[in-house]
Amino acid sequence: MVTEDNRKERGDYDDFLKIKKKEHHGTLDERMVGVEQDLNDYQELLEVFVQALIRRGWATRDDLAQRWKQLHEERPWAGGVIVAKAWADPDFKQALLTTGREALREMGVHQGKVGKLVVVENSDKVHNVIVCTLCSCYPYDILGDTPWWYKHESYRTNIVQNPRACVKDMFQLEIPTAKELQVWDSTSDVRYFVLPQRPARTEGMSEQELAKLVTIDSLIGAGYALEPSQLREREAAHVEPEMPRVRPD
Amino acid sequence: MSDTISKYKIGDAVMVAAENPTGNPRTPRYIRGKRGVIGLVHGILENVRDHRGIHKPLYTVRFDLSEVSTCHEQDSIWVDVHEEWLTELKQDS
Repeated sequence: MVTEDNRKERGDYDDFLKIKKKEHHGTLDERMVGVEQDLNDYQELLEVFVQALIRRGWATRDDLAQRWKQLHEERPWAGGVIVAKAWADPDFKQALLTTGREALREMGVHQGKVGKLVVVENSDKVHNVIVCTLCSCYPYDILGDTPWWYKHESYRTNIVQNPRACVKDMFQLEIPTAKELQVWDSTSDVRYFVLPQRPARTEGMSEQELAKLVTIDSLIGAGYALEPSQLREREAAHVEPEMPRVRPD
Repeated sequence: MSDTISKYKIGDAVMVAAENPTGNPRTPRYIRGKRGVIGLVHGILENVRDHRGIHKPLYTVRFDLSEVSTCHEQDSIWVDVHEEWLTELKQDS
């Protein structure tokens, strides 16, 4: 499946989508019922749309299953490869931190054009966290989809009001008091990701092995890159994501 | 990192306008009327996907956490703000 680069998105800026946005009024319960109803309607619409795609031969069930898997994989797309190279190659790291996308272009990483890229480096002195308090700005074209909580209102609110408490409550991450916590609030034109610190016990590992230690959470500052033993535990517990039901033709 | 189109440079103390009806609407409420320091200078970025038209030069402004929330840790919040929202903060004011 090919996604056009000029696709319609960002409902609040696009009149085409704006008119479709529904509003609900009344008490919280009434509004929730309204939203539930919308979700059912959209689900119905989606199923009809998917069936139409399949019937016309524009997509197959295999395409959809593959895309579903891709979107639900825990592994960040190119994030792991980029970070591993930065850990292994000081010159590349310097280029990545100072020129962003340019460094990636030279590396041959596939990327779209979602804004200027800024990479912020975690160190013994600074821990960086990324958020978009307005919506969900994120370097999608490089890292793939966000984790679910990135778009959640509680994260988007709490991370700028009380960042230390927020990362502790949501991600069990206790940032040492000696470190400055820096929260980066993206507003669309610049997209950020975090260069996590290289974990302990990774000496002598190849870039390919290192890339597997990079979690999507660590690229947002909601976690650290994994130590090799943590990766092994994760892989042992891995469960395949389940495809949502599509109504039979 | 400075250029001729951007009015401010890294380290300049700035104040975000409390309101700005014609400014770029993607300026979060919690930094409006707050004081910060220019952290990054981006110049004019074209973003035809998200915006109509071209906006004024963009900066990443560093705010002390205590300036924008009730917390007092020595942490910081860095937010992208366009130039029309900013005024220079004189050292003696």
